[in-house]
Formats: sequence, structure tokens, C-alpha cells
Amino acid sequence: MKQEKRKSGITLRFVITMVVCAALGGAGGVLAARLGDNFPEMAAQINRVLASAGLWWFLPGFILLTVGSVYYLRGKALLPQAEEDDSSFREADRRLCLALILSNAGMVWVFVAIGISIQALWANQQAMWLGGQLLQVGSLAEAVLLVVFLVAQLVWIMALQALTIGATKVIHPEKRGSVFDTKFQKDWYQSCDEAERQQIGQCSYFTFRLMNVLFPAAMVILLLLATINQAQPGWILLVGGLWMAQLVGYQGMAYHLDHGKKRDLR
Amino acid sequence: MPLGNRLKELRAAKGLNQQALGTLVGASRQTISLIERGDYNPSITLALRIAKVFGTTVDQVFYLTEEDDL
Repeated sequence: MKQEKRKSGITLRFVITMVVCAALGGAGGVLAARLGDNFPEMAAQINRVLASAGLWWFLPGFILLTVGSVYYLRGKALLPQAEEDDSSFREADRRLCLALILSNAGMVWVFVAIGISIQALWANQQAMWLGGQLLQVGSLAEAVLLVVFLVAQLVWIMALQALTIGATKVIHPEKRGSVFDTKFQKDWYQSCDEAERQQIGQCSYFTFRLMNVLFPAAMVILLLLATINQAQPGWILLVGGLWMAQLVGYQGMAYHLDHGKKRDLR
Repeated sequence: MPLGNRLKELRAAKGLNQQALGTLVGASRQTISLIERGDYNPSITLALRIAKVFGTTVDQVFYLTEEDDL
């Protein structure tokens, strides 16, 4: 009886989800059709606004790295007590973990910043031929600053990650791997015990589920844009390719573990 | 988590910290901490190793805290 009730609840939830998705899709389609004529101008306006921030796109990266460095220093400060005291150990581990998360987020952000900044510089280069000497000087200074910011952030990220991993190894002496080595993730995983490997599995599964929401959402947006001729085939292939890689990678690995000859996690 | 344990008590009696116990049983300090807090159920192998360090049996270290549905 309980099982049957649960099953009908699941069916009802599925039907409601389908109806809501259909309604949202319909509304999106109508909106896209209405905006169709104005959309190219609106998109160009949004792109201009995004590009106008120029090198300011590097600012969030510097903030992430500053906060990450503070967490690293606060974690490192606890290392002497962490040897003996279990609560200090947990707190030091937590702070170092946050430092690593922030430095990884900084790594992704630096690529976002460099991409948008290069796009903005490219647009300026186009204008340079019309703008004259003053614009040329400004554009050159911006290009130099872009390189300086990029190098500064990459060096900061690598240094912060190396220092954080080094400090983590003080409280986890069994851990192996160097951030400067391409085999770092493999070495680190192999030095993890059963509980840590289970946590890695849980984190991977969480990310898999998250991406299984984000990829379809991104694809729906692209399909809506395609209906008004605003989605480039390359974007659709890129998102579709990433989605495919994630799904086939996950399920292929599951198949390999179940039915493959080699059962080691590679 | 239905699995309780007397790990902290046994560790204190033997004068071992989490790191030392982890080294003896081949687990990380983090894992010992997780087991003690009831956030991780160890494998049979690890449970047996832990019991062996304390010279006792697994059921003297770990116990069920709730009635199982089965």
C-alpha cells in the first residue's frame, strides 16, 4: 500500500514536471519569437556592456585569490597545534580545503577574464584604425596590463595551490603527488584510503547530477536562440559535445567497472 | 547513522591520538575522525584492523544504535 502510494506520487510529480516544462518551453518560445526582431541588437548591447568592463574582469579573480590566501595563512597558523589537538586538525583541514576551492575557482575565472578581455581588445583593435593615435596608446597599455594580470594570477594560483597542498601534507603525511606533476590527481587518489575514496565518489556523483541539470538547461537556451537564428552551430556542438563526454564518460566507466577486464580506476 | 563506536574511549585508554591510530590501521587521520563522529562506517577489513589494535573484537568497538528495519 505504502509502495503503491509512493509510486503514484512519483508519477504525479513526473506529470507535473512535464507540464511545467512544457509551459515554460512554450512561454520561452513565444518570448523568443517576440524578441526575435530586437534580439540581435539586444545581444550586441549585452556583449558591449560585458566587453566594456575590459580588464575589470580580472578583479573577481584577485578577490578569490586574496580570500584563498587568507584561508591558507589561517590554516597554516593552526598546523603546529594540529599535530596534537584533534579539533585544531579539523579546523586547519577545513581552512586549507577552502583555500584550495578558492584557488581552483580563481583558475576557472582567469580563463573567463582572459577570454572576455581578449574579445574586448580585439574589438578595440577594430576601432583603432578609426580612432587614431590616442586609442592606439590606450590599446597597447591595455594589452600590456592584460598580460601582466594574466601572468600575476597564474603565478599566484600555482603558488597558492602548491603551498596549500604542501600544508595539507603536513597534517596528512600519507598524501602523495605534486601540483606541478601531470599525474597529481592520480597520485593523490592512490594515497587516499577507503573513506576518502568514498567521499571522492560522492563528490563525483553530486557533480554528475548537477551537470545533468546544467547541460540540458544550456541546450534548451541554445535551441531557443536557434529558433531566432541566434545560436551558432559551433556553440551547439560545443555544449552537446561536453554533455556527451560527461554522460558517456560516466556511463562508460560504469560499464568498464562492471563488465571490463581491468577493474582499476585509471 | 545506526553504527555507534567506542573508538575515542579505547584510543584514550591506549594513549593513541587519531594520527597514530590511523598509521597503525592504514587509514588517514581524517578517516579516524569521521568514524569517531559516526560520519563513516568502516569496511569490515578496517573494522577488524581497528579491533586488532585494541586487542578486542569488532563488536566491542562498534555497535548498532538503532533497531534495524529488517
